Formats: sequence, structure tokens, C-alpha cells
Amino acid sequence: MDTIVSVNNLEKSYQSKKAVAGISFSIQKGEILGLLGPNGAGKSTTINILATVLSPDNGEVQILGYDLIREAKSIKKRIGIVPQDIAIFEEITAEQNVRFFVGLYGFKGSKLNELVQEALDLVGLYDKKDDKPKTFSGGMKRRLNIACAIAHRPKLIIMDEPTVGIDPQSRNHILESIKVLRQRGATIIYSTHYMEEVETISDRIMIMNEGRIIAVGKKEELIQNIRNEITYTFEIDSSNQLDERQISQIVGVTNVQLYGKDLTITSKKSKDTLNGIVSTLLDNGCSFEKMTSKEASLETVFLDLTGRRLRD
Amino acid sequence: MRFLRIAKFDFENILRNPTLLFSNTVMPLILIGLMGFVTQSFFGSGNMSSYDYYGVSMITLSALLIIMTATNAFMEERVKRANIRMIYAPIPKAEIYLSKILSTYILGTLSFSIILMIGQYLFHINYGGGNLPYILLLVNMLVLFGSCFGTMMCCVMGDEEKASSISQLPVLFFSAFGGIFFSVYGLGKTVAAISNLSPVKWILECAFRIIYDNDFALLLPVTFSLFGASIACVIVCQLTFKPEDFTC
Repeated sequence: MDTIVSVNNLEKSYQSKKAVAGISFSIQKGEILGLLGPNGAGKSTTINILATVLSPDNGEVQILGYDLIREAKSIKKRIGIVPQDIAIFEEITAEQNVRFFVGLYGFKGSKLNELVQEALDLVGLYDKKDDKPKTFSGGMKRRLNIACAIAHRPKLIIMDEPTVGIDPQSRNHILESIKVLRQRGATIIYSTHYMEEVETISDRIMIMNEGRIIAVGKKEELIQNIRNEITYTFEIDSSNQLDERQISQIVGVTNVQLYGKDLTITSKKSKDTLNGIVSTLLDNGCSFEKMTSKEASLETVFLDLTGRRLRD
Repeated sequence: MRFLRIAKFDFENILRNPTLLFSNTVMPLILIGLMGFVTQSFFGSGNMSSYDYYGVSMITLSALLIIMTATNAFMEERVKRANIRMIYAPIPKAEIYLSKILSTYILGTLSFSIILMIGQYLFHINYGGGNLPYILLLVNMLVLFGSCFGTMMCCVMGDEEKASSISQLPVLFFSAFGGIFFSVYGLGKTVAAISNLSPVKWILECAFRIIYDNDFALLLPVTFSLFGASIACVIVCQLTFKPEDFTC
């Protein structure tokens, strides 16, 4: 299998803060790599470095066989970036948007026409090609945002939260489009806050936290590592009296999170641990109306590794 | 070819912004009419009417205000967001800011040239008669400087709002000390000396000498100074423009 992205000991700091702290990873041809991490994990910095917009402080990056520093222009020609913000002109038609942006890659004439039609087709906006994006829904704008990024048929596509704030129908359309792009031979880096999207489309998942890669592998492999864990969620009615530290000290408990009335506890699967949790809650004057339990999932993997929920 | 396509697109973007279009086409005419009308009694019956004076000074002010058009064309929120794709595309970073300078300059130069001709031939404002091309040259050099200066401020600040706010200070300084609204000679020797720092003063002085005295002594020094300052702004753009500012 060809290596499309090879990153070795990549570092980037802003003033004294290390945004990316010596990460190494590789991505193979045709792979969809899901990039997960809480805010400030270093995902966007990593993406901007791979997009050749930011220069790394240290480390080696090769994309499609080209060196990131010395051959940035060759890389730019062959990659497509879907930025988190919707980067389109609202006052010109959908077709004019795609035409202008793909024109920046040197295409013209019939080839340009073909690429514009193909991109609009892929995202399901060809019949809206003459409409201005200011009349579009949020989901349609997101789809146009993708069309503008992939029209030049990039070999590597980097998507930074491409589905933020859109309706389920548009989300499904985008996820299906991504699968089609992969079938056409593209390699994709997909950064998102939506766990279910990563579970649906990614071949491998990379979790970042505080500038480091804390886990990378297939979904099943990541879950395997914590298969003996279980997550309990209690709906409690007197959170003000609860001392989370007491619960953290119970043998077997690995993580405690309190959001309003929802108390989420990750622990080893053990009867004693569950009994300890319940009695501690009752001793603290917390009665609970509801309790659910969940076997290990990607969400619990993330919580276990970062100590935070993905959308924190 | 690609550069010209980007510049053309940027030019069309400015035309799609009604505020920018208004401030560079109709606004100068309104300013000339308003100031000329309000102050006509101060000018008596000499050979320079209030419309003649403000015809030159308001065009100069409007040309200087092209700085604001340049900052908007480069980093106004909606444009900036879409322009991020130029950062990702395989084009040199110089093409990104040079296209904004060129598009702003073309708009200003077309617009102010037409206004000057309308002023002279339709409203009979004295722009020097046969010397009009020299006045056009002066104004166009100021437009070039304003386009470069506004773009430079964006490169240095990395943000349209900051660039526009800070750019207003030199515009205010140059205008006030350049004698746009009133003559600064009555305010004492110190103020008169300070006013020599204002390019607006050079242009007004140069323009009035050309129009009323047929004196071209200042034309070359002023145009070369403005051209040199424009080149200096472009150099600063190249040194300070950070594409990553677009990604923030």
C-alpha cells in the first residue's frame, strides 16, 4: 500500500505553548482517517501544517512523496482542504464559485467545465448551479464548501469539521459523498466533533489531546483496550452535595464527570465497584431517579483517554 | 493570466459591495457639491470659486479614502473567509495581495478619472482645462498609494477591523494638516511646518499650481514620492503578509 502522508516528530509552538508536541503518524492510500480531539488538542494546527499554511518548528512531513517545506507548491496542487468556516462567495452562483476556485489550480476550457459539473454533481447541487449561495440552507452551503475543495480532483482531502450545524439529511449526503470520493481513490483526513460520523466512515481513528496522539487504530482495536470498562450515567437530584473526589477514589473508577444532573462514571466492570458507587452516592445524600449503563464505545474510549467528552 | 483572473474577480467583488461602490463614485460628487455650496460666500468673486477649491480637495480626500476600500477588498469578513481558498491553492502569496491592490487601484483610477472629467466638462469645475491629464495623474498616484497603504495595513494587522481603525488616523492627520477643509497657514508656523509632512498638502499645492499658475515644478517630485511610498508599502506587504492569518 502507498503511503500518502508520513509525519515524523512534528512540533509546533505558539509562544511558549506547544500546540503540537512531536507527533508521528502515517496514512495509506485510500484510507479515511478520523481525527478526534477536544478543543485545543492540536487538530487544527496539524491540519494547517499538512495544508502547507503553517510551517512546523520541527519534524519531517511528506505528502504524496513531496517534502512539505521544499515542495509545498507540488503538495498544494494535489490536496484539497475543506475549511471549518464556509469559504464561498454568497453573491455569485454556486457554479461561479466552483469555477473560480478550481480555476486557481490552472484548469480551463472543457476540462474546467467537466470538473465543475462533476463536483456539483457529487454534492447534489448541480440542479442549483445557477442559484446564489445566499439563498441556500446551511447544509447546502456546507455541500458547496466541499465542492469547491474537491473539484480539482485532489489525491488527499483534508476536511475540518465539514458538517458543523447542519440538518441530518445534508450530513448523510456529505458522508455518502465522502465514501464516493474514497471509491474514486482519494485519501481523506476527517476531523470532527461528531463521534458517530467517525464511527460511520473512518477506517482508522486518531485521537489527539494536548498536542499529542494518545491513541490511533481501528475502532474495534481502540475499544478492545478498554473492553473491561463500563460507563454508568446517573440522573441525580442533588448535585450540590456531591463530592466527585470521593467517587474517584472508589477502587475501579477511572473517570467521573458531572454535567448538571447527569453524573457519568467510567469504571471497571465489577459488582464491588458498582456497589461502592451507589453507596457513596446515597451516603452523600444523592438520590437518583434513573441509571443507565453502557459498554465500552468510542465515546468511552475518548473519555477514558482524555478525561473529557468530545464536545467539551 | 491567472493573476489577472484573480484581480478581475476581486474587482467584481468590490463592485458587488454597494457601500464601496457608493463611496468611490457618488460620494465625492456629493462632497464637492455640499462643501462648495456651504462655503461659496467665503470665496468671493475671485478666479477660484468654492466649487473649484473643493473640487480639488474633496477629490483628493476621496482618493485618500481608497485606503478603506483596499482594507475592505482584502479582509472584509465575508471576502476574507472565501479568500482562505487562495491560501490553500498553489499560487504565490504575492498574487493574493497584489490582486487586491490592482483591483482597488483600477476601481479608484476609473472612478476618479470619470468624476474629474464630469466635474470639468459638465459642472465646469476648474481642473486646469488642458492641464487636466496632470491632475488625473496626481489623483491616480494618490489612489495607487492609498491602495498599497490599505493593503499593507491589512498585511501588518492581519485583520480588516484593526487595519481600518488604525488607517483612519493617518487619513485624518493627512487631511487635517493637508488643508482639505481649511487652510492651515492661519494656525501658526509650527502647524504650517507639520503640514508639510502631509502628502495631501503636496498634492493640493501641486494641483493648484498646475491649475492656476501653469507651474509643474512639484509634479515630478510628488508623483515619484507617492510611487516610491507605494513601492515601500508593497515591500512591507511581502515581508509581513502571513497566509495563516486567514485561517484564524
